[in-house]
Amino acid sequence: MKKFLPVLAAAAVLLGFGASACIKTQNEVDVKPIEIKPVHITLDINIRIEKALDDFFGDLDAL
Amino acid sequence: MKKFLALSVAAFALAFAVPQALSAADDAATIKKNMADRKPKIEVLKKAGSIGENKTGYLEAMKDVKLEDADKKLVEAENRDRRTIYSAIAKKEGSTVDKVGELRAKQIRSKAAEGEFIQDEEGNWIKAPKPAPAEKKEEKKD
Repeated sequence: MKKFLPVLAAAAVLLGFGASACIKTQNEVDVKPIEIKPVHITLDINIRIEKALDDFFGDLDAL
Repeated sequence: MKKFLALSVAAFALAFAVPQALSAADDAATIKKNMADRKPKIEVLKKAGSIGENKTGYLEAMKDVKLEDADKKLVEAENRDRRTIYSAIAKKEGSTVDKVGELRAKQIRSKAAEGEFIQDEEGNWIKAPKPAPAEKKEEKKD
């Protein structure tokens, strides 16, 4: 039984490192889309607004 | 009962929704016509350096310039109509009147005639530079 204890302890430590490594990887994957998405939305809205402005003021600007 | 409901909806549309949509289109057309009518006079004031285009998408009297009453009313009417249009676009696109105005100001700056006063994004009043000539497309030689 005494022989197994160090092995079990080592296994527990390794599992701990492994689990923490997994959590870190998941965090990176989760954060990236949240940072990028609003930029796309803002650009999309700005493009739509510029198009709407062109539709209305285009003729007037050309006068 | 279903027929009654359908007729009620149709009646509502004819009585309120359709006239409102037509009214909005009429308003936009009227505003556009008024803006076109004002444009020559506004151009004169811009060339004289009395007014400029600010960074929020509106006309503004230049510092130390006192506009005549008629010109002041002209600028106010133009700005009022611009705000109505910006507001309609903001509502349609889910944005704010200020944001639409800023984007319009950017467009105006890019199209401003040489020497007219424009306000840059930092709030500095500058004279519009000579517009860059349109890029010529290179013709392929065989």
